[in-house]
This record gives sequence, C-alpha cells and structure tokens, in this order.
Amino acid sequence: MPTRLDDLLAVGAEDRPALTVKGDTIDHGELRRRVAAAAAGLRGLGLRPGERVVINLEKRIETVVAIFAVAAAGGVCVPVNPVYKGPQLCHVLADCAARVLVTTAARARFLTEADPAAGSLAALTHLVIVGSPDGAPNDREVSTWDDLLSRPEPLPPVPVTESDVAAILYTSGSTGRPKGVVLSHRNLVAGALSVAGYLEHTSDDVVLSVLPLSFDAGLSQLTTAFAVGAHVVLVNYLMPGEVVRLCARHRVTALTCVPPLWLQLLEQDWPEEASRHLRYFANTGGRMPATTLARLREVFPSARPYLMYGLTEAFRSTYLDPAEVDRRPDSIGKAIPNAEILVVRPDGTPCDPGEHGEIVHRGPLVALGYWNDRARTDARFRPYPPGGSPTVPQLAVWSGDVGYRDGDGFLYFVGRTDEMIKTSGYRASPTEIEEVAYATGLVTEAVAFGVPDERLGQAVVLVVAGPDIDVATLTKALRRDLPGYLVPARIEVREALPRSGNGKFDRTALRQELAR
Amino acid sequence: MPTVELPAKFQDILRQHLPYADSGDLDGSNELAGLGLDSMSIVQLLGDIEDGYDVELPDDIVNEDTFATVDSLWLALAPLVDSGRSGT
Repeated sequence: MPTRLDDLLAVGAEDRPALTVKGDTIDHGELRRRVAAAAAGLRGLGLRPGERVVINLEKRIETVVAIFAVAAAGGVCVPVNPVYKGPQLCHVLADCAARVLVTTAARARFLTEADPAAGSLAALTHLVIVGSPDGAPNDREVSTWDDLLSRPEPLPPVPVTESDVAAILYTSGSTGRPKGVVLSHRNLVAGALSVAGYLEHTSDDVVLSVLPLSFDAGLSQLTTAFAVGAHVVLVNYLMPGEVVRLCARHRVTALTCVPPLWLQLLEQDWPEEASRHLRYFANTGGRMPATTLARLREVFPSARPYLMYGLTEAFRSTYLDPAEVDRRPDSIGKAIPNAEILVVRPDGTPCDPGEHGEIVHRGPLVALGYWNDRARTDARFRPYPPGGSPTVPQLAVWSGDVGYRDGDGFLYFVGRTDEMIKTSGYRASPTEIEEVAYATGLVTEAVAFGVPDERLGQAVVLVVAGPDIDVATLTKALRRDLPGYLVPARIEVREALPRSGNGKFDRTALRQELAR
Repeated sequence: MPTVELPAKFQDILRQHLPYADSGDLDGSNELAGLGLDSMSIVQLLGDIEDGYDVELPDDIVNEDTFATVDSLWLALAPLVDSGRSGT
C-alpha cells in the first residue's frame, strides 16, 4: 500500500507512457528515475524535511517531476497557479517561507520587483531554473534543472510518515489573501485511491489534464492516474480546439473540467475520433447548468457523466453516481469512498431531509489546517461531533457551504453565507481584488463582490470611487497585477460608496443594486 | 532554426499580453504559455492584433501551432499583414 505521495509512482509499468506534453512523452520508468534524481538534487541543495518548495511553472514534464521529487525528498511542495501575477506569487513565497523556488528565468524576474508589503522572502535561498538561466535574478543561489538532475550520489531514504505534510495548496476564503491548505501524504494518497476507485481508473486510461495542477482537482488528476499506472496528457489551456485535437490524438478516456470550460468546449465541433474513446467526463468547481450537461451527453454519448464537489480543505468530497444523473441532475451526490459528509445545524446535530445546514467533511481526507494561521484553522477545522470526546478529537472541516440532503441521502449545494466569490471554478475573496485596486493608487474606495453569471458561476464586479478615475487605465493596471480570472468583468465608478450604520461599506446594498 | 525578424509593432502588441516578458526584444523561440499567455488574455490579444493591423484572422490559424511560440505566431501573421509583405 502506498503511504507517501511519491509511492503512487511505483505502480506504472516501466515502458508504458506516463506523461505527455506536446510532442514529448516519458514512460513510468523514466518518470521514476527523474523524480529520484530531482529528489537527490533537492537534498543536495540542502533541502531539509518539511521545508517548502514553491513550483511556479506552466505545465511541463518538469512541473510534475518537481511535485513528486519534493515529496520524495521529504519536502513540502507548493504548486502555484501559473497565471498568478507578482503580488500573488510573492504572497505565497513569503507566507509559506519557501526555501526553494522552481521556476523559469522569465517567471523569476518577478522577484526583482517584489513588494516588501507582501512579506519577507528571506527564507528563499535557492532558485532552480528550468530552461535557460539567462536573465534570472542572481541574488540567490541559482541552479539549473539539469544541474539538479545530474547529482550522482544515491542518498538514504528520508524518514517521512503518512501524517507528515506533503503539499500546500493556496486557495481563497471569504476575506484576506489566499491561505495555504496543508495536505498530508495520507490526505493525498487516500484521496487518490478513493477517487481513482469510483472513477474506475485503470492503467489503460488516458487522462487529459486541463485544470491547473495547483488546484485540488487538477493535482488529483495526476495522483489518480499515477495510482493505477495510467497516462496523463498535460495541456496549457489556451483554446478549446486544442482540447478536441488532443482527445483525438491521444485517445483520451478521461476529461475533467470546470463549468466555463465545458461551455467553451461545447462551442467546438467534436469529430467522432475525438469523442469516441472518452469513458467519462467529470465536472468540478461549480454547478453545471442542466443545459450544459444535456449537450455534453449528446456530444459524448458513450461517456459517463460524473458531477463532483470538493473543497481543498478536504481535498475531494462527493460525486453523483452517473446512474442517478437523470433522476437528480442538481445533486452533488454522496460522499466519495472513505469520507463522510454531513449536513448539520449550528449546534452540530444532523439536519432533517430538506433542511438547510452547513456541510461538514470527515475522514482521512481532512487537511491538516491552514499554514501558519491558527485563527482561521480553528474556525474551519473543528471536532465532529462537537463537544467532549473520549479520545483525541478528530477534526472535521466545517466548510461554510450551505446544503441539504434529500430523502434518499443525496446532497445538494445551496450556496454560501459569507462574501466568498466563486468564479471560473476558483474561490476568491473580495479583499484580494480590493487590495490590488487600492495598490494601483487610482481609487480611494473599492468594493468587490460576485454577481450571478451564466458562464462563470459568478462574475467579479468592482465598484470604485475616487477623483478622475479612468476605467481603461484602471483595468490595465488590474490586468498587470491580477490573474485573469480575478480581473473584474465589470467596473462601476461612483462618487462615493454607500456605507452601513457602522461605517463599513454596504456590500449588500451594492450587490443587490448591481446583481440586477 | 531560421532567424525570424520580429517587427517592433508586433512585439509591442504581443508583449502587453505576456506578463513574464521583459522590456527587451522578445526571443522568438520562447513559448507563449511560458511567457504567461493564458486563455483569458488570448481573446484580448486576438482583438489587439486585428485592431492593430486592421485584419480579420481566419479561424484556421487560431490554433495551438500558431500560438506555440513568439516566432510561430509571427510566421502565421506575417502573410496576412502589410508589414509582413514589405519585410519591415
């Protein structure tokens, strides 16, 4: 039985394809060799168990090798979204006190303009540069990826148990900057085996990786494929036509996307050779509209639809049995194997069928908390059942998501009671958008929130006030400092923003006004 | 690899959509995804090219081979835009 993240690589047949990017394919044997070599290289740099390695790369072979090599070296891998801009990247590097950054020379240039307000980067002593190191900042020790793989000496195994930290995935809450969800080896391995089990992955599967690897569902595609020795095809998603062509070229059997991506994919022609091999399609990151689901089932008549729900704090959580999709297409299904999902009242007692309550996640997929954030961890990770326990209490994730259960035990997602924005499958807090708006120096007041949007789930709206605001200039500045999915779809300029009785901005009034 | 001459105008339009490109000359062999082009900015890039060169891009060039590297994008565009014909 695998106990560590890197144990998942042991399954694949030596000469079967493991990973493809564009025209390059490596087999499972080569993947294992590169991971072992990179792990030795990282330890050669002085990486100690538990130290963080941030991986900021578009999808390439090295990105995947680095994720597993960090785990094999006993370190903690922190894959960040490759569409992050400087402020988000610097926040992550400072927040997790990363020791090593694996990146490209072009991406590393952000370090030279790092904003001290993002926090200290003093812990960051090493850069590992994939590709040419020309132009990389040289105020830290720089190694190339090739250097890393060329250290010959074998090293004794690092003592790592399944309860040690394997990864930190940054995600947003209702306020503040993104927080690091801390995942153990056990979380990732239990998640991989559970999800690979219900999706019935086998070594014959070809999994197309469209989602970012920094996203729980994206990382899960790697682990659930490797756990059975399957083949992963990576794509840096630029245009939907490429997904169609890759499905045909690689005979893709497994496709997982978020709702806005499905809408784009449905605008394409799907020739039979592209859809024929697809065994399933899976949706995550937001509710799939009924019309989208119906059209996907027409395009992929022989593929089973999996409607999934998860949150990073519990890695993955529920899925709807494809046999139930016609009966309850709005349901998020039931708990995945080896997890328990409850709907509870504020006092922790279970809700009756149809009664709305908070969705609570239990079991071995529950993460270890938020990195270096006791207060938020204590709020979200609490014992279940609440109250006294005859043993050390097991923590559950009190998700903040509101849902209910029908008479047959199937779960339904209702919404959130806080300010968290869900857009394009991502979670976002108003703060991270407002902070960047203020940092442009172009506005004196800013409020961001989500409004319902057919394509995106929610669209980001930014309402600002200040003297002589030029929306085009503001948009350009926001594009520079925000990843694309956080750039407001709509910017409204007011003379002043409404305030509620306590002097805070009246978000509710603004949202109600602009949601129309 | 033949050396491709990249007109300044093309570089200026493209650079605005590449968050990881520096202010110097673009290296034609660089991959656009590596320089930070993403699925959201590509739509704006297409619009900026069409406006900047007053052309309409045919659907058959909007694919991953065209948008692979700086060079591949220019090689696809050059025959469609005036400056490509005059070689400047």
